[in-house]
Amino acid sequence: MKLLISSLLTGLLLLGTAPVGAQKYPDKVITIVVPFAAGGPTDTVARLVAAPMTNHLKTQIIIENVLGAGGTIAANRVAKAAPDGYTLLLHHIGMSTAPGLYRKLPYDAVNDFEPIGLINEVPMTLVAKKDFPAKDLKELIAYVKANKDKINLANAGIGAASHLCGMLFMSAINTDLTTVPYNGTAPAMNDLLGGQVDLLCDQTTNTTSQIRAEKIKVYGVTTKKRLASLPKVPTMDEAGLKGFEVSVWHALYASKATPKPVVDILMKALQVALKNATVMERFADLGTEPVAENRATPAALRAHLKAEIDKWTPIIKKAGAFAD
Amino acid sequence: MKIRSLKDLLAGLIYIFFGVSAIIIAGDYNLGTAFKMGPAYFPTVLSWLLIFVGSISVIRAFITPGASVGAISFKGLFLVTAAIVVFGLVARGAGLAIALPLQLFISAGASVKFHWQTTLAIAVGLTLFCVLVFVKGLGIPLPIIGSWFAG
Amino acid sequence: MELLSHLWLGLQTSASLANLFYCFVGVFLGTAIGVLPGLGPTATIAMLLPVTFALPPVSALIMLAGIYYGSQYGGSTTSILVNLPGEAASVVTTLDGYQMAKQGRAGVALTTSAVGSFFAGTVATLLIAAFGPPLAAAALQFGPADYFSLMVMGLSASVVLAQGSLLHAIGMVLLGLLLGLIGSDVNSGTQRFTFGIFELADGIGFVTVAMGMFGLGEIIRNLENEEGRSAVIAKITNLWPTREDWRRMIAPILRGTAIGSILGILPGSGSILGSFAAYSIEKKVSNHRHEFGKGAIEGVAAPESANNAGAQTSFIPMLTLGIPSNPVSALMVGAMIIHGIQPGPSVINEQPALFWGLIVSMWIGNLMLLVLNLPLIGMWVKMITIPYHLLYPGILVFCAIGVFSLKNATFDIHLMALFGVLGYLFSKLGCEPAPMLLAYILGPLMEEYLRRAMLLSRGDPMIFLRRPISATLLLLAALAMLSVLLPSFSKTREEAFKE
Repeated sequence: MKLLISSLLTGLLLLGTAPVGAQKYPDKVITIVVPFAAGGPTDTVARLVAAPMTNHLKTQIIIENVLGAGGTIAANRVAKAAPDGYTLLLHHIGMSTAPGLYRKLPYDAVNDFEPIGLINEVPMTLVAKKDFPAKDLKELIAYVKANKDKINLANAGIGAASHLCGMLFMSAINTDLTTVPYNGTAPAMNDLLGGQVDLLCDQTTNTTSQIRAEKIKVYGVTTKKRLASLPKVPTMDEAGLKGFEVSVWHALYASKATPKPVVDILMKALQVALKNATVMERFADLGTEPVAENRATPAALRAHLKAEIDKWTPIIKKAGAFAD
Repeated sequence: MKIRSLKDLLAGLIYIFFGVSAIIIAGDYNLGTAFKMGPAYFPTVLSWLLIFVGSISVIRAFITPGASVGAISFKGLFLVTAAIVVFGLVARGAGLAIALPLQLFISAGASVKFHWQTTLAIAVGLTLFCVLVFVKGLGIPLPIIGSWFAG
Repeated sequence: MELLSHLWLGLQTSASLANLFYCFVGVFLGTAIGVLPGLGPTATIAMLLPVTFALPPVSALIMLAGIYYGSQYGGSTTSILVNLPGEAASVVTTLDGYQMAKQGRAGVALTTSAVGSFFAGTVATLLIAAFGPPLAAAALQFGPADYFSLMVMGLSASVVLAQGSLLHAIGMVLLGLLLGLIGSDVNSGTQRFTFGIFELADGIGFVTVAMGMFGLGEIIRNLENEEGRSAVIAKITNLWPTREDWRRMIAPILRGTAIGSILGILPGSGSILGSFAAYSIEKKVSNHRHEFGKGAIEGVAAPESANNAGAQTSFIPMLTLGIPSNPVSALMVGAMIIHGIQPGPSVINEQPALFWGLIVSMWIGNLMLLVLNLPLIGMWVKMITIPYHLLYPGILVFCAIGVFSLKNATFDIHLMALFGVLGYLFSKLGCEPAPMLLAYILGPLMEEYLRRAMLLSRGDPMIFLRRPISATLLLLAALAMLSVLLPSFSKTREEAFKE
């Protein structure tokens, strides 16, 4: 908070301009706060989208990585920031799971933000170590149920996408497995490659290249339709788990009470960015695509966020997972 | 009973202090089992080991003579710590242009060879250097002049 | 000779004028930020990431890698000159490097570090080129139980690092392990020992602890009897190593390179353990055992070589598997994605120019570092002849800004002050910080691996003995402890301590 004010004021000083909020928006540097490390999947999305937004808004956008506590530190900073549209939050699905995972959340995920719009949805894949015996998802489910005491399901830590997908999988097949948490995706994938653990459900961003190189086995993608990047892989729904859908979605938020004209300008910039050729190309490389224009809007994001909170909170509660 | 090694006694007491505190705090966490270890498992084991080592150190303090602790430089300890703490307190609000010279003067005061003229010269040069390298060059978000003076 | 054609391809890529330029920019920036205490490669690369978007992917990666190993180089400079380890690996360098500087042999220490690093970098680069993929596959065989045992071995060996009392070395290791657990527990998400302080949720950064315990502690100690001493630094005796120095550094450099290269391949923990392990082994086998901790050249040569070798080989998992093994390679993976390259096992076949170009550029970068740094040594040595009462306030300023820059949090500045007080207190009590710092880094990892191993074995501790790698490592750990505990050995330790 203090950092924010001082950095905004520094920004003002450097530009040597008039008082806050006078002229038209935007007239100074915009900061997008990203809750995860530079170079990670969420950061990559932010940087890809920020470049065309910069061109459209004709103002510089800087990415600030504010790490820690599953993204809640970053979200809290933006929730408490001045509502002027110069401090934005780019967060993933964690925005909707934090209310379930954190009993003492210092902000309100729905009411402390002005939603701007959805960005994309990254599909997930259910993968297993290379020598895992099952041929397809049906066999896998039968095998897992028969050997549930032996199976190890990895995840990248509390609240990570892989943790959520894993919980959903266990609840879908009605079987509790031993979950082995890791500190991030990289070590989890490392142990899956080495055959130390059996199963992992993670974003295509992390799994596609290993699947293509046939270093791990894949049993399904968690989307409605098959993916262009992995055309041979069936959806979980096709393969036998009806309605098993989960994706990591990213979205952009401003702090509460940001004026509507400002939110509209930002929404427009986001929509322009999502149609940018480079953005679309890179998203395709990652096995994802930008959302349709009508979903990159405050109303659609608000509805989606609420629906996701309602979907995840009971699953998290049932699994007894807490992050604090 | 005569204390033969004050060093061993104090160090041992510090170990025991940390061990006991950690066990008390970890009492609030779930201990778990050897299969599914809870958050309290590892720290509790460590703390008992630490208490054990601390106890040996305390006992040894009464048996084996050790070197003396030596003089403690309270002035240095206080001023160096104060300089850092003051910098931390005012860096955001007052900005580097104020916080840096302030830190320099407080810490330089710990030396017997303190001269305010030289320190002033260093302060000016170093502040300029830091502003150029850290703020302008590397983009570290610290203000040059902070919010307290920007009204 | 497939390897030669690969290296030739790499040379063609990396020796293009543009790529040589970016390599130079990378190592130059790396050295500069490495020298500034607290500023690490991770923060710098994160800041520079957007700049690289405009570059071709090969150039971008060459520059980013250059920043990383350049900063490893620069980091040793501050460890030797002012006792400020900017990263885990240079903690050990302070033990003898700073002592050498105090005796006026800073130039010799810096040259040793530069030469050792260059040699290690060369060997490690060749190792990546020749055996990258099989080495990565071998590292995958390491399971959680093996990692745990590796750390037990590392910690047993680290007790040897200490000069003084064995009891206090063990005490400090335990204390370090305990302090390392502050923050969120990975398995349950529980906030441990955070006293409800939000800023502690992700633990205390290593640099904060290291700068407090080493840097501030040392400054306060130097202020103790300022009157009694005219200057902290003795007169500079010789700038360059003597014939005797050269002779003494050869074997440690070779051993350090071997140890560092092997441990560097293991993700996460390996490159940290490299320099500690190299130092411990050197102290065991050296004929100049009694000089360790008092400015032994072997105590600089071995860990510095290990450090740089490990920095290079730590790229193996990223290059061959697409799995980042440290924050820096995670950033490079991100950079690859932004450039439209899918990091993974296929990079070596689909992007041979990038793969081999990056590897060869590492060697070129190391050569540049040597050429860049040797002439600078004279300047660094002059810097520490600045009267101490003018120097230390400046060092404090750099510490404060450096620690702030890690998380952009003033809270960390105050924590550093706290660890400064602790560091001074411990040094007065004869408890040395080096073993504590190693344990501090290993604490959370060790617990993680222990719990993971026990999860996988369903609570059966025998897993540590059933797995051959783990059993071997534990045996080595037991031997290390025994050799220290044996009365004859501990007697020599006591004597060494008293003199």
